[in-house]
Amino acid sequence: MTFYLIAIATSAGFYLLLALALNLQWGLTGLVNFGVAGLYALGAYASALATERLGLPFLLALPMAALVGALAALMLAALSARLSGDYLAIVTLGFAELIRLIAMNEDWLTRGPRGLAIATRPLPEGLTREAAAIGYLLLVLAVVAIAFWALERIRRAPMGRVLRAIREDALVPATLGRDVQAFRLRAFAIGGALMGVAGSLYAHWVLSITPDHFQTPVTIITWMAVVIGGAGNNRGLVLGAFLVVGIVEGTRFLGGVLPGLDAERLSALRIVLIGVLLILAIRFRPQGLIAEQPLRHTPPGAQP
Amino acid sequence: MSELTINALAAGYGGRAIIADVSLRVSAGELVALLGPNGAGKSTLLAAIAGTMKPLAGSVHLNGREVTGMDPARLARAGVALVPQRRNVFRTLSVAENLAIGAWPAPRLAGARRDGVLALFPALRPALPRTAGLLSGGQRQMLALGMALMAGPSLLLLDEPTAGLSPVLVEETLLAIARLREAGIGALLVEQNAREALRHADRALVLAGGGVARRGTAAELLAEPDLGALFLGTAA
Amino acid sequence: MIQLIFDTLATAALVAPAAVGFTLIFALLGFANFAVGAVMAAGAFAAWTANALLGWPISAATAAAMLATAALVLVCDRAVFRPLREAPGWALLVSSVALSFVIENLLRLIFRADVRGYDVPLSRPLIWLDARIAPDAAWSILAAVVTLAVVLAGLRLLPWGRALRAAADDASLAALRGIPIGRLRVFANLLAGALAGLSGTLAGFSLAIEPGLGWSLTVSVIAAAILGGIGSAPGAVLGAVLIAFVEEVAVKFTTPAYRPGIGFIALALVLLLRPQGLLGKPLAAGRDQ
Repeated sequence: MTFYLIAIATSAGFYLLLALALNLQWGLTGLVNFGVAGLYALGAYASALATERLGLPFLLALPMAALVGALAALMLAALSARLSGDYLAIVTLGFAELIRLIAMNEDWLTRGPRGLAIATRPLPEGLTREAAAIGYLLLVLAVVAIAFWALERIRRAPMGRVLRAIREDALVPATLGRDVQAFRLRAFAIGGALMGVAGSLYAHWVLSITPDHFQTPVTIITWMAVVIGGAGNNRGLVLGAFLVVGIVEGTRFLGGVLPGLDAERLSALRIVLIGVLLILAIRFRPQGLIAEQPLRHTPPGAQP
Repeated sequence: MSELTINALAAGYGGRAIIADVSLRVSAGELVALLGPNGAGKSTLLAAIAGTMKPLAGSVHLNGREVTGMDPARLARAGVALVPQRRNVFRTLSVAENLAIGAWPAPRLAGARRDGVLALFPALRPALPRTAGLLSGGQRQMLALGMALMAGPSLLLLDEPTAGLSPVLVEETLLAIARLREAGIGALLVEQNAREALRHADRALVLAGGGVARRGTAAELLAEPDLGALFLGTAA
Repeated sequence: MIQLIFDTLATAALVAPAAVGFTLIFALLGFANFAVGAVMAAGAFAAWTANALLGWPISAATAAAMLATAALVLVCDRAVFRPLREAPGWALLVSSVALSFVIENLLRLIFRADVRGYDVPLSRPLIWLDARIAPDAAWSILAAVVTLAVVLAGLRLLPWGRALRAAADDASLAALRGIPIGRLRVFANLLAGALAGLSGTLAGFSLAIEPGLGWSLTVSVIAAAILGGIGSAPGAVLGAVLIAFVEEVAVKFTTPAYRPGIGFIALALVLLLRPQGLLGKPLAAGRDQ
């Protein structure tokens, strides 16, 4: 039982990293990213291939995953830079599909649906199963804490204020003389890097990755965490991530309540419920559970 | 005959009023000029009357019937046509199609109306098959006005129809608008070219400082020595 | 060469109707509706139900599927998108992706993921000028051509078609000129739904009828619409033919599985080189986030 809980917590940790990244891209900057699963996959495969094929240590593989994620994100954002958010959404979605296709079909590289086995673990040798599990959880939580701290600093720093202003109205920062585009691209790239990091951590935890691990439900669940947690608000995100993982895991037990549904139908029903929940959350509580704290300074010209 | 009555109208963005306590009346067959410096709220007033912006306070009545904040499409079908300053033609449709769309509220008289519009703006006739996005600025303004006329409105709300036009075209356009009075069509005309507008209008209002600063007949205002002061240096 | 032309048309027949629907909705309502793929899958299943379960001939089944998806799209618009019409862009986008998964998994819930096919008599491919032409594909092309011809003609000649094109060009100006945007929205949704249903039904001939059928076509559909220029129905058809052509040529060098990948690359190129597409209006800033 404890094993299960540790696994759930670790899983929530990965989603939390993805959600923190998405929160930077969308919650803070207003960019819609439907390619979360793709960037996650890219980080995972990059890291796995780095350790398994290139023989690099995990400490090098992790930054590689971050770099790959950042570059991919940068490319996607640059493609749709001057266009409305719909186009970025479209490109990121297409990208995620492309990544999945490559992972599926390029057997020689990724071993396709059979799965890429990963032997490298960022933990010392000779640990018991329990110790290893707890150790990994601590590692993930450490990365989460670092990411949280870094993103909170971005949020409070001048860049963060500019990003939030961009989200409210892209014209406002232009009058402040900042390069709106540069900020957006930078934010999107940092988010991509973090998603790559999450992918790397995931790959070296689950020890065998297939393209199936990185399908669109990952993107939807991440969005749910950010929407429910509250846009731009990192604290609400922690709540959101755990809530969402709780829902995802909790619906696993629907099988006991609803006899007569086989595993396939059950899994479909779970996704239906999650999707409906997301639609309802957007409709009735788009600001999330914990609303964002407003910027503390008053914009120039406004009444105090 | 048609009459549009605006009472103590207030409008603005984000809860803050740009204009307040504006009252005026436009009747069929009369041309009322709405003048004032940039940013005075002239376009805002038109938008609030036409329903594209919900007024913050006050009322709008058409022939005694309350139409405050009514859906713009319904108001258009009731005979009040707003011609915005920009984005006032369908650029991907041909001139002929634009005019056909204009007739939507009153399809049965479309043929006759089109003849009337082409008589008013002969320059549009050779342009009928052309895509509206390729028209010159002057032709576009004519088309925008022509579209609105296709619906057979009783009242027009015109937002700077001569913006960006050469002086010759300005005069031509204002003449055409003034001629509409003969057809019983009334118009509330927002114009930057104050002097030109006053020469054609019956009455005029000056919007400044968030409200109506001056009103009177066009002749009275033309004779006004310190009109320029009200315009803060942007006199026509 | 004839084979290539034929294959292109066969693929375009799948993509074009849905692309037309997608482009009109994007232009009219201002957002990219990612649920188009799932609606296509629903259409395939509806046609299958009518054809394989109820024994209807495939033409009647196609018509039934189009009616079903028209109704489905209208219901979804009323329930999900219309309440969000004042909401920022992301709300509509994310809702449409969520909706896509709800529809797809409802299909999975009802029908499970077993592979199915229509109940049509097996027939041998026709040989014409050195090209092998499967009767299914020929029928698909015919159905698509006829339907699209009717739709394009209607958009050009009928008052409601003109009104839809006007509103797709500029919805607020259309309202100012008296066009009832609410009723137009209903009309557009029914039309887009029927077209997506047609695409899905036709896709069921060459692809396996399973809940994920639409998702793999979504990128091609959206790419076709963007290539043609958002808001232009003829553009979407043209875009579909071009994308189909590129796919057919590229597939000779890679596996068929990469079709969506080709769609994505085409999309990236369009956005890089000519984001307004071939026949679309010049792009504005778009909905705010």
